[in-house]
Amino acid sequence: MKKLIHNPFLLIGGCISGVMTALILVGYVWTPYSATAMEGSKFDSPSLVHLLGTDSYGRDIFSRVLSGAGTSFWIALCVVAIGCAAGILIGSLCGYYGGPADLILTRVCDSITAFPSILLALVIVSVVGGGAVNVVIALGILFIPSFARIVRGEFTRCRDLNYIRSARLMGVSDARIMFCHILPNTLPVLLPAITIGFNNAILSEASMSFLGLGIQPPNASLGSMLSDSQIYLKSAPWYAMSVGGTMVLLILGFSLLSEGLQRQARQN
Amino acid sequence: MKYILKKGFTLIITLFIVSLLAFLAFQVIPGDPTTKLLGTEATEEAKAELRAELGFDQPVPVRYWNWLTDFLRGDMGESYSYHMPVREMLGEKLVITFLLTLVSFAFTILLSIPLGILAGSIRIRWLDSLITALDQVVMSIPPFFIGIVACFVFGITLRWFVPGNFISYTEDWGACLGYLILPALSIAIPRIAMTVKMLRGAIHRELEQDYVRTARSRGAGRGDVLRRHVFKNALLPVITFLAVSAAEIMTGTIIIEQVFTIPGVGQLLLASISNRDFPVVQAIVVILAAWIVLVNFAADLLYQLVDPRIRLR
Amino acid sequence: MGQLLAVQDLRVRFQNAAPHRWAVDGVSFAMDEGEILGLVGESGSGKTVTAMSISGLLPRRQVQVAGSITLDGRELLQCTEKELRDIQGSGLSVVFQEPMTSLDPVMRIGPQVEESLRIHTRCTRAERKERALEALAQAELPDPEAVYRKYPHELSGGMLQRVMIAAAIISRPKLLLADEPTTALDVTIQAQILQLLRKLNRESGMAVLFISHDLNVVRRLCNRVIVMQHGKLVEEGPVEDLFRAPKQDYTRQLIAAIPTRDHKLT
Repeated sequence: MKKLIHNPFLLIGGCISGVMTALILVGYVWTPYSATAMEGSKFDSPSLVHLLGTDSYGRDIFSRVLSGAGTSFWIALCVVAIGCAAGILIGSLCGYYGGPADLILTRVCDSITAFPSILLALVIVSVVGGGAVNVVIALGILFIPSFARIVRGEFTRCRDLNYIRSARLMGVSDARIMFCHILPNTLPVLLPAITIGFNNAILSEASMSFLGLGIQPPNASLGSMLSDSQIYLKSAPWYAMSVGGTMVLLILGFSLLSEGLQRQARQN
Repeated sequence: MKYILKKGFTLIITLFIVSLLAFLAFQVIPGDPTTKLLGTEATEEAKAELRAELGFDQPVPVRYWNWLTDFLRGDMGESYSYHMPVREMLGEKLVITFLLTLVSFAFTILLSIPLGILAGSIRIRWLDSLITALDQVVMSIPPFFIGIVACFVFGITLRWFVPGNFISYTEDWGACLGYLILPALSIAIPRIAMTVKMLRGAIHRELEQDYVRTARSRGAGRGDVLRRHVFKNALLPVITFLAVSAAEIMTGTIIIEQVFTIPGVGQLLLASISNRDFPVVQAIVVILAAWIVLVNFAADLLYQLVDPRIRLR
Repeated sequence: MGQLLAVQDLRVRFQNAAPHRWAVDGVSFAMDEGEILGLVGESGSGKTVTAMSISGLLPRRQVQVAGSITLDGRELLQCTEKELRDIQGSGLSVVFQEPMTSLDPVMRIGPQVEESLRIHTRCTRAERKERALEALAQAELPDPEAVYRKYPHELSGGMLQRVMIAAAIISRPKLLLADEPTTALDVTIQAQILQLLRKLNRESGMAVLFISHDLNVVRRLCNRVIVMQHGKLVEEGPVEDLFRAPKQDYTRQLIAAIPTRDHKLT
């Protein structure tokens, strides 16, 4: 507890992302109004009845933001899961065994990370088409190198540590060394990377959906809603502001969290 | 000199690989482009004729070679949708996007380095915390949201400009640049925040170094130490970061052009993606990728010019 | 010869340490002009903190310093930061343990050697260069003109330590603090550096406070030595007396720790 107070990044970041995650989880089972029901009058300004007002069809914006954030959250989670799992697998094998395969894979990863992921995602989506599943797969693949790189670095560092060498001498199997002895040691670097990756995923998905290449209507994510709201900027500015604000809070929470985790790791 | 040659060689290889990948990516597309061009009711003979005309009956390596040599000569093929040379479609749009990128990059450099140096030199604890917190918040705002807020504040509320309007450089250079300022800032602001954070961190790290203690033991004051020793060391890693920024800014324009309805490459790219107009997409992707590779190359050269430790190798 | 440095009842405590944990606890000693004094102790004995207090390099906000340090008649602990900076690099110079990291990696050797002249004098560029070349030559660096234009990473550890010494003596200080200057170096280079310090002391009459954990090195350089343990001064006297008849157990242990031909290390 005392540590948390000394690390305001972790504390505030944890609070913001905790509240946002809780809201989103609640949003999966219950929203004040249906996200698609056109019940209210059009363009109501924010009030106690409609916390964030209503949109061009009289839909409750708060409910829509909750469900949109839920979609974004879910997609980002899948992207990070794919990227992280594959990244750990590739990174640990390359880092532990080395050799020419490692050399080639590292070069490939380096060249992929040299290009902004949105550009590459655009290329993939333009070839295979848009939609949620394609975006998840495209971004998931593009996120592999950043994780693989980090895990590989940690594995090459740990591989030659004395306690790993002695474990090997004692006849512990490679798989056990890799996943029971080395992998837990990568956590201090991996955790901030996961939170940063999550942010990048939220941002990339939002960009793709904003461009109309991600989530297709009638489904909505934060990105596609922001793109919609832009048309009504004049008559209902609170629409754009609440969608954008949600995005900022979501990203801010996780970026503070990752900063806090990094500082924590540096202190220990 | 040897270093430059080696880097230049790698550059050419990388460009070659990038072009090959960009070419291959659009070869695996399902569906026959001739159907797209002639419609579903075209006869088989007409399709075969067109295929021969477009060179689709030749093996892939030959087609790649033809495409590459054509591309280098400036012939980027013909648009499926508009039946006009891609090069003509790109011309003005490419200039606008490059202008936007340059203006945005200039903002990033001109604002982030002084701000970062300032943030790194501040010793008042609460002010430093405030700046760090503010920086973290600004970093978290997606550029397209900054763009929308800017449209709302400066366009709709203050009426400084009409959102949705744009004046091309072919009509009026000054007005064009004026219209580019807000979009450029929208892309630059989160980038500036990131660079400031990085530079501040680098300055703090350098202040811990032994050479700082040495300089202080000679009676150098804090300002002297910062100016003569710390800043130069701290700016080195920022060069690489700015190269990454240049690439990110270029792709950032694709989205920001959408927000401000700027008729640049981004809009064309998106329209072509939804029309499945692959020659256009391919050309744009290759140009963007080449830009990124070139910027990285330039950053490498710059880095080795500034860092004496690399010059030897 | 007059007294150059007097340290009286010096106490140093780090802000975040326990209330009565003094890193330096009531140390008093004095140095004459032109003397070479050895300061010996194991790591953590407070010898480096003592040297840092004299040089004024302890961060004032985080450290509590009490007692008195007079250098050449001036009370250092009462000086403002500005007054202290005037003394640093002109009346007093420091050579550190790690020559590899103690120099700015992206600045050529020349300007770094001249730095204290730039700060403390109004010498012109040409005068500074002339004196820098002179100092480099005094530090027995071959081809000073070439070294002047080199970057730190182009020189070896021993040469860099000579550069550090040249930078320290360029302003002709009365006192040189040498904080383990030979520890990071090979044995042969260690001997050369000791010889150099001895020569500089003889030629210019510059006093040297030589800090080391290695009694053997101190014996080769110093006439008089003080021994520190746990922040306290435990023994003081001429080096040979100390070796012949150590008064303290601790000193005896330090002497016993010196490898000799008689009892080989296994």
